[in-house]
Amino acid sequence: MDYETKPTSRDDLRRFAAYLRKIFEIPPNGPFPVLEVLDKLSDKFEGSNYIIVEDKDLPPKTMAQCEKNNMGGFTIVIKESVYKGAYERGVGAFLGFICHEICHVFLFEIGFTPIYSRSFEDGEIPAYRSVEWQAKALCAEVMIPYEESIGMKIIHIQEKYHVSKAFASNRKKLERKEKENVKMNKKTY
Amino acid sequence: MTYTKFGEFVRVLRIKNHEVMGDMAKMLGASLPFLSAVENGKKNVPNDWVDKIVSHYNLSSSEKDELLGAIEESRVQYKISSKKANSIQRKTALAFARSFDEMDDDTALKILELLSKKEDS
Repeated sequence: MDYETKPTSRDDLRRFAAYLRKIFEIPPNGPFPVLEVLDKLSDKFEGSNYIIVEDKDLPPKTMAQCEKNNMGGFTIVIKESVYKGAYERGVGAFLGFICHEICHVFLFEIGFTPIYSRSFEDGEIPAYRSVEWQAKALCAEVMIPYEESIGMKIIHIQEKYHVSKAFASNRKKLERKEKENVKMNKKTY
Repeated sequence: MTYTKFGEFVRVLRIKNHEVMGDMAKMLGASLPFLSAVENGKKNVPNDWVDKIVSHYNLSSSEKDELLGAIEESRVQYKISSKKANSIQRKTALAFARSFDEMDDDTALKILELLSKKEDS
């Protein structure tokens, strides 16, 4: 399920990523401390917070979700197993799920809210207008600083930034695509 | 849903001590959903947490007072034991519990005043 929002580009999201790190006083390079940032969420976005629930309290395929709350902010709801995996074993995919929700909060707070109340199937909305794509792309930019990671091998990206192999591989694909686009003078989404 | 005074107090403690909720849950011997529910006012703070928090974070006596105040303000349930109560006391406790949700400030203040007078005498 996805929602349509105002458009943005990869370049904008890259700038947003640097801004998000700055808001949370995280250096522009290096790993993004997802769990520490989670605890600071309510300091930076008034009315927003997070809760950890038993796995049975969220649908099987939902690892975490972001909900509008009644304090004018957003509540990130995280499955216990996801938080535990991120905390105890530093599982990149789980850190990614949590960071993805932090990015939703950030994007909603800066005005990238759904334009219509109706939802769409995945892939129905152009990427640059999709709430889900924007959060996913921003999450990648936040967790893997672009400039610093250029030229790194997938395994090194995984190790340095505590991200999943899929995330690191996507970064490499994007790097190659951006190089080609620069040659052909095209914009990357 | 928001953090209670207790939730806010421990959240700040964690940040100051470079810890996250996982560290605190481990230190308290609690599950993550339980700690989260306490921080968000869905459950009461267990009694044995005070000593654990004071000792782990090396709180001063004024910080301990602040913690106790935060716990008191965050309480979501009160228990009254009626083991030794007589019939009138039981009826009073029940009537109070039943009317608690709709009680207006004036009535609450009158009850408080009445109980304070009793304490003073």
